[in-house]
Amino acid sequence: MEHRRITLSEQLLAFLRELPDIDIDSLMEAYSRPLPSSIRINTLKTSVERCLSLLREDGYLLEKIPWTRYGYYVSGGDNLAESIWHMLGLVYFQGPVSMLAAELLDVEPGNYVLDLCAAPGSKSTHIAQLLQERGVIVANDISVDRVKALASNMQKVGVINSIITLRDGRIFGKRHPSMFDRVLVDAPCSSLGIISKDWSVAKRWSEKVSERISRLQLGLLISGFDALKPGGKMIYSTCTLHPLENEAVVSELLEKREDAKLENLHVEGVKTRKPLEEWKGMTFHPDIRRCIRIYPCDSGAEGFFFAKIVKQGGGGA
Amino acid sequence: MKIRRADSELRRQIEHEANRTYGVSDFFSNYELIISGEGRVRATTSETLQLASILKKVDSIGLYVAKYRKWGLTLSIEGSHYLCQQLKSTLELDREDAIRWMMAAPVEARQKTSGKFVIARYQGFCMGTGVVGRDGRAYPQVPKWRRIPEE
Repeated sequence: MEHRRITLSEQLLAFLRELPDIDIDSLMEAYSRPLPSSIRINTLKTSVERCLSLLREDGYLLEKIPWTRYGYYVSGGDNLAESIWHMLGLVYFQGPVSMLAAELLDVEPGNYVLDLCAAPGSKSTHIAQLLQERGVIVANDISVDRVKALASNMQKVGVINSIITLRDGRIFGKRHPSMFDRVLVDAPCSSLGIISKDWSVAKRWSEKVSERISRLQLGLLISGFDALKPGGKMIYSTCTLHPLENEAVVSELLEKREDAKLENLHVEGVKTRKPLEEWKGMTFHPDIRRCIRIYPCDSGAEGFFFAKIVKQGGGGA
Repeated sequence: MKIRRADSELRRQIEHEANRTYGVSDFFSNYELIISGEGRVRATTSETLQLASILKKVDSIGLYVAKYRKWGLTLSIEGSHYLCQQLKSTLELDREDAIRWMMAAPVEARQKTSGKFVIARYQGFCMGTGVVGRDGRAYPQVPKWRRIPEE
C-alpha cells in the first residue's frame, strides 16, 4: 500500500504524545497510509450474495470487514465508484469503522430513528437498511448544501420511509421532545481520526478548535438526548481522538441529565481502547469507562470514539 | 415544505398512466403519494407522512419514484426498481449498453417497443425510463448526478 511522508505540527504531536496507551510511531504509520477502500452492500436493493456475485464477476476482490454485517474491503477491478453497481445504489462507499455507528445503535424494524447530523448520509442510509422499510428515519442537517448530498444519497439507496429536515440540531430536542426510539449524534469534530483521508485536518487543528467544537457537540448531544423517548437508545460518535470532544462531552451530559445512563460497548473483530478517565485536571464521570475508542493503528482505517447512552424509564424501546 | 398529497383523482390518473404505459397494475398502492415541483411523484409510508406532518423544517419526504406530466409518466431509477417485477416489457441490455445507458447515451432499442417510453433492465435490475426517439433509439432519462462519467 502506498505510504506518504507526513509531518505534524509540534502542537498536534505534543497532544498525541499525551494520550495514554498509544504508540506514536504506530499512529504515525497509520496516518501515512491511505484509508482502505470499503463498501457497504445495500440490502434495500439487493441481497449480499447477489451483490458479491455481481462484483466478483466484474473482477473485484472483496473481503468481509469483521466487525460489520454488510461491510467489505474492495480492491481490483475497474473504478467501482464509476460502475453501474455504484450508480444504481447497490453499494455505498463508507469507512469501515464509520459503519459501527449504525451497527451499535440496536436499530429494530419499526423504530423511529433520528440522525441529528446526517449529511452526507452514510449512517442514515445504513440505518434505513437496518429498518427494512418499517419505522421512519429522520435525517437532519443544518447545511443546505450538505442536505442536497444527503437527499441524493437517500434517493440512490432507495429509502422510502425517510424524512429529511434542515435545521440546527441543537434545537431539535427542544422542539420535538421524547419522540424517537433511537438517536444518532455523529457530531462534527476536529477529525483527528481521519487524518490519512484529509491531510488538511492536521494543518488546521489547534487546541482551541477542539475547545470550541466541544461546546457545539454538547449542545447537539443534549438535544439528541431530549429527542429520545424514555427507554430509547442513543449513540454519540466522533472521528476524533481529543478527550474534550469525547469523554468530556459525554461526561457533561451525564451531569446535566439524571436519566442518562451509559451502556457497555463491545465490538468483536477490532481492538478497542479504554476511554480516558481524566485529562489535564478534569476527572470524568466514573461510568465513562463504558465508552470505547478505536485508533487508526488498530483498525487500519479511521479512528473513532463511541458512547452508547440510554434514557431511563419507559420499560425499554 | 408544504406537503401536497396526491388526491384520489390525481392518484387514479397516475395509476391509469402507469398501467397504460408500463403494464403496472399496482402503482405504490400501499404507499402515500406526494406531489412536489415539476410533477415529481414521491412515495412514502403512511407513518412517515404522519410523522412529517408534525415536524418542522421538512426538506423532503420519501422516495422520488416518477414524474407525471401531460405528455406522460416516466419512472425514476428507484421507481422502476420498485415496480420491476410488474413491468410488462423492458429493454434488456448487455453490459456495454448498460454502461452507455448509465452515461445517458442513447441505446438501440433492439426489442420492439409499443410506446414512447421504455424501461431498461440489466442483470435483472431496472434502470429507469428512456424516451424512444423516431430513430428507434432509447434516450435514457438518467439525472446528471447518477451518470457514469464519460472518459
